[in-house]
Amino acid sequence: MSATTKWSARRSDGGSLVLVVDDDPDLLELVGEVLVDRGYRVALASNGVEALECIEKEVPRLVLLDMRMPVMDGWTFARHLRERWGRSIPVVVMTAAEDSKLRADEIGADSDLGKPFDLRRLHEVVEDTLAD
Amino acid sequence: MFINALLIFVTLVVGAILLATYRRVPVKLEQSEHVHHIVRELFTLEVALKEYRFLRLPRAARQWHASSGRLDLYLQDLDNGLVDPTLTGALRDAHEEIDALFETLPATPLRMPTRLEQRVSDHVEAKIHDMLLWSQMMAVTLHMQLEDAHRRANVLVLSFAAAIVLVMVGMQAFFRRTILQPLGTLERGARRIGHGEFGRPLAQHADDEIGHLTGVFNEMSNNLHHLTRAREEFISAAIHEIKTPVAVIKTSVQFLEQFPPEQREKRLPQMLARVDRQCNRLDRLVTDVLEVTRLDLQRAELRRRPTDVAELVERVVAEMQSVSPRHRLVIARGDAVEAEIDPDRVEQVVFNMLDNAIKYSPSGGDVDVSLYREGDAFVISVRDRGIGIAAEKQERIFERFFRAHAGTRYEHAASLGVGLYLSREISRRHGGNMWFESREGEGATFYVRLPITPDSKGASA
Repeated sequence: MSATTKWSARRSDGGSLVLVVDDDPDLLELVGEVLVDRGYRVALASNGVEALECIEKEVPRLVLLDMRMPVMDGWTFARHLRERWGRSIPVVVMTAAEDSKLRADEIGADSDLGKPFDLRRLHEVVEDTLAD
Repeated sequence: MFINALLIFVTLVVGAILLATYRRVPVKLEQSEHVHHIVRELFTLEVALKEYRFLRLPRAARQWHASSGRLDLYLQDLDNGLVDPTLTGALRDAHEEIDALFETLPATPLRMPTRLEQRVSDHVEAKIHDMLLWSQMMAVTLHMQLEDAHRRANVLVLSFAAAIVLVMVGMQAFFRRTILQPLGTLERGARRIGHGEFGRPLAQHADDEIGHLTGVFNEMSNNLHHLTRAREEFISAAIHEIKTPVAVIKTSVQFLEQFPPEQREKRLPQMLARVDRQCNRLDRLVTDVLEVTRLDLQRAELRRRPTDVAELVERVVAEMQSVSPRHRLVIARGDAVEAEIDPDRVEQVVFNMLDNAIKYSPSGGDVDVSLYREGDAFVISVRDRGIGIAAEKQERIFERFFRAHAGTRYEHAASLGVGLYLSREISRRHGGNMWFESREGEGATFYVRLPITPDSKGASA
């Protein structure tokens, strides 16, 4: 499967759409697989530009966002997102930065998923954010 | 330096004036002595006259002549401008007059003085008294002049002493300002750096030796600061880099665990491949960090052995192709090359070259890899069609911890800023070199040229 896939073939029916943005293909696919297994629909993007294209096609219920990416980084993407959609789409920041909480506040993220995260933490954060 | 010269000049001038003044004092003393002799001779003349006139002694005329001759000599010596010349002239005229008058008298006194003799004697005596008066005036004048000269000399001595003290104080102030204070500043600066505080650069007081030293010190401090910060950033970046593979491995394992064995089966190959890739990534990260430390300590030893370079290149290309599906890695030319190299390290170099080519051509496309012989050496080149390297950064890209794309939108999470540094160091240890050609926006081609055997000179170009 290709990391350039904008619309994952693993979309299952009925679930909420989650957009995952990360430049590491392994991490991207893994998070996608985990969420699909939980019954979400998933869109994958490997940078900010691809992520914006995804949103144009279908507005997700949640964005999982890495910060440092080539082409368009997380901060720029978040700014575009807020300009276009306001705060209607919650954003969860995934970053290896120690100050991920601070980074999350910087872009007005709804939650943060520091790295290294694990399966339990991933589910927790996604469920909590969607429940709000 | 100017102040120094000025102080020395002032000291010399004061010294010269002092010397000139003191040389005039002995002359005045001598003149004063002369005047005393003149006074004495005048008294002698008076005595001789009285002996002639009243005691009628025959030797009186002889005494007169002897004394008169001496007086004449003293009067000649007075003539050097120190004493009022009219006074000297008057004395001389009067002396001639009384001498001439005395000559008119008989050489041996008669028994009774004549009336003429009485008148001449009276006149001569009156003249002698006048001369005495003038001489005394002269003596007083000379005495006053002498006193004056002494006083002036004293003032000069005091001024000289004061000048020397001033020079010393000035020199001290000068040295304090130009040497001691800057040295103190340097010392404080060095101590600050010793505590790991790199503040603002030290102020450079003057364009002298210490100013130069301060400049060098600032440069050192600046370089140290950059290196320290770069090292901190490197460590921080390395730690961040480790977190992503750890997250992937951990989540993969936990994800697999939640399925019963029979359901795990179908997911297993993909998950294992993923975990394997991330483990390799971790391994490379750790190797990079270790290598930087080793190279820093000059402890990296090459483990050369005969290696099929073509096979090595193909292997790395295949591996990189699997993690970057959006790029097409093409082996444009692959000569058969067998060389005596450290295969692990050369693999690291090829990996870094490909990794950079992929990272900095984000929109994908072809990456051409070539391997060819060139005399006693072989060359590996990797060409991408990515963003290229800005001209102003080309000079620095081999620097340790330098990240050419830091702060741009191409800043890459997976860049530690050591790949090119390590690659070039490894090439150099092999007796080879590494270089590149690039224009911003038009991609880059990196070349590594290594000798086939350790002693061949093929890579000297």
